[in-house]
Amino acid sequence: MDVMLHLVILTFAVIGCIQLNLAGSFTGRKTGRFLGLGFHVVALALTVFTYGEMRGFFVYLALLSLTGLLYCTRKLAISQHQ
Amino acid sequence: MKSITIKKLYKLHTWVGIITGILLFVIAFSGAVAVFARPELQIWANSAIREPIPINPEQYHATLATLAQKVGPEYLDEVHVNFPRARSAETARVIFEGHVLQPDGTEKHEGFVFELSPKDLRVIEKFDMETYFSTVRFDMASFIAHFHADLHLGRPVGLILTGLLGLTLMVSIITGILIHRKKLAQIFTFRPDKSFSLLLSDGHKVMGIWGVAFHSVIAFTGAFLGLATVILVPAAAYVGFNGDQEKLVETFTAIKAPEISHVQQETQISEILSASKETRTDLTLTNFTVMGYGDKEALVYVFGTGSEQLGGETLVYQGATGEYLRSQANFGRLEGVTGKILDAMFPLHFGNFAGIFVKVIWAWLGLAMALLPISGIMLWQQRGIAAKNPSHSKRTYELVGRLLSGTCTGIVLATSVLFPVQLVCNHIMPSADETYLIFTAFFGVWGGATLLGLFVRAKHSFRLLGMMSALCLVSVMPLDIAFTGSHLFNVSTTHHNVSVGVDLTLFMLGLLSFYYLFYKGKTAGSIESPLIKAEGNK
Repeated sequence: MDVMLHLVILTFAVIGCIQLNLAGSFTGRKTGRFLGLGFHVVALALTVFTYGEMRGFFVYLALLSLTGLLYCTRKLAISQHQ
Repeated sequence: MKSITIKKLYKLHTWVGIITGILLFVIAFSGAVAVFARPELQIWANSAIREPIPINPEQYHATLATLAQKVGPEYLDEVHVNFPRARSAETARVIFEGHVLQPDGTEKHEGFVFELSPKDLRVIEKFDMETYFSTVRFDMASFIAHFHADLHLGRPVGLILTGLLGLTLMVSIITGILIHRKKLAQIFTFRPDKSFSLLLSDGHKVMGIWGVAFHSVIAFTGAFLGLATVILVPAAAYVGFNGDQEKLVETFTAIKAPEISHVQQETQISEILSASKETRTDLTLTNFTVMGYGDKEALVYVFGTGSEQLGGETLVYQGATGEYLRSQANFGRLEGVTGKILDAMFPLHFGNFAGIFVKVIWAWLGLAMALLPISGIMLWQQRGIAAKNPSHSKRTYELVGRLLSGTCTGIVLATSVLFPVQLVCNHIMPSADETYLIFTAFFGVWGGATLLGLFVRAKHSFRLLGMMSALCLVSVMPLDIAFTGSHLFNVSTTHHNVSVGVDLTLFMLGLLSFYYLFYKGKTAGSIESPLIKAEGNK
């Protein structure tokens, strides 16, 4: 259950990043921004649900950094950029 | 913002990075490892605590009663007990402390420390408190944790240095955001295969932007932890407590001494520990303190981590009756958000507030933070070499490159070497103090690697030192199996889950390093840096 929840949080955070990316830059499309923001809000809510308010907030901040970093460096961004 | 201001900020960002870059890498890399120092590496490094050791309340009750009789009533003002494995202790540790009134009216804290075997609480060694705390004894886990805190330069110099590095990191973050604000929108652009220069600038930007929140938290908490005890606490004590630092700490921390009644009544250690274990199953109990042991008014503070409180939780009991009084945070006596912020400092810096998952995230982001100044310095080199009118000679850029390769890859190798050294020490001289060997191995290897870096081309020293690091990491698991017989296939009987986990992780990291250095290193040759090419053409 715990592992599943973490996987769901990670997935939502990565999908949020994908939605915010357009050709290597922060998207200008409103749909993309709303969807990206939505996925991130759900991921944040799930993290807070798992860890509590304060811990959840900081865990999510770190998770956002990590997923964003991994998403960029795994060339997912590149494929859309080229 | 005016372009002249941007230029000044750019210069500030560059020079802060160049001056502090290597040191920042050293601190950030050791921090990424230190995240696991307590308790994971501590458990791995001490075979006596590799299996889970349940807390036996009756055993602690009886042991404390026996030891209290031995030390006498003058040393029962404070009794501190650390459970083995949970914190930094490879043994169960009991400290009996008395407050002795001096002729000048001040109080001096004196007492004894008992090291007990973790399983049966048999006394291994007894020390005078002053001798115990003035003796330095490290295994590889505590060595890394202390190296991250003060670079083993001692206090206050080391702490001030690391605290100042936190401040310079904050300067770099702020100036970085200001000078690259137009590039912030390109947060997803990373082009590793196009050119070495683009790889560096995109990497620097991506690590900087995505990690900005994390880096800011680490920089702020690092600066606070470094400077708090050596500058902030004395300054606050000077302003508010006529320089009395003890009084200040006593006012703000959660452990409050009771009014001693001098009426003897047994302290219900067994009952209190049992109640804590049963009622707070979410907490991992780490230690407890008895203020006024054996007195009718004694108070017992049981500390644990794992609850929603970032900095752990303290359960307070009436010692004589075992009555539960309240639960509080470490700085629970501070009103408002101040106590919460102070409580959050240490766990936010080390990522030890929400299990291994969060520690792994902290370690990865710590490594990204370590690469940030390095990529910045390399960018400076690249631009300097490619410039028509470089600010410095080619030799200067080369020297910086060699120094960078030697010291930074050297610190990775020195850290990797500590693992096999610890295992060999445990095997050859199980009860001896390994501090000297740990120090010699670490600083010897680091110094040697730095020298090698200065005399060998950066590319070659990076590859050679990288290979040696990978070899050290891969060798840990076979060595551990050979020396202790503990491995993945008997983990269900030995219950050495943590140490086997550490072995496996190191093995995987070693294999990954080999893969990168053998395979990826060759394919990356197509985007070789102009600096390396320039060195190669000589």
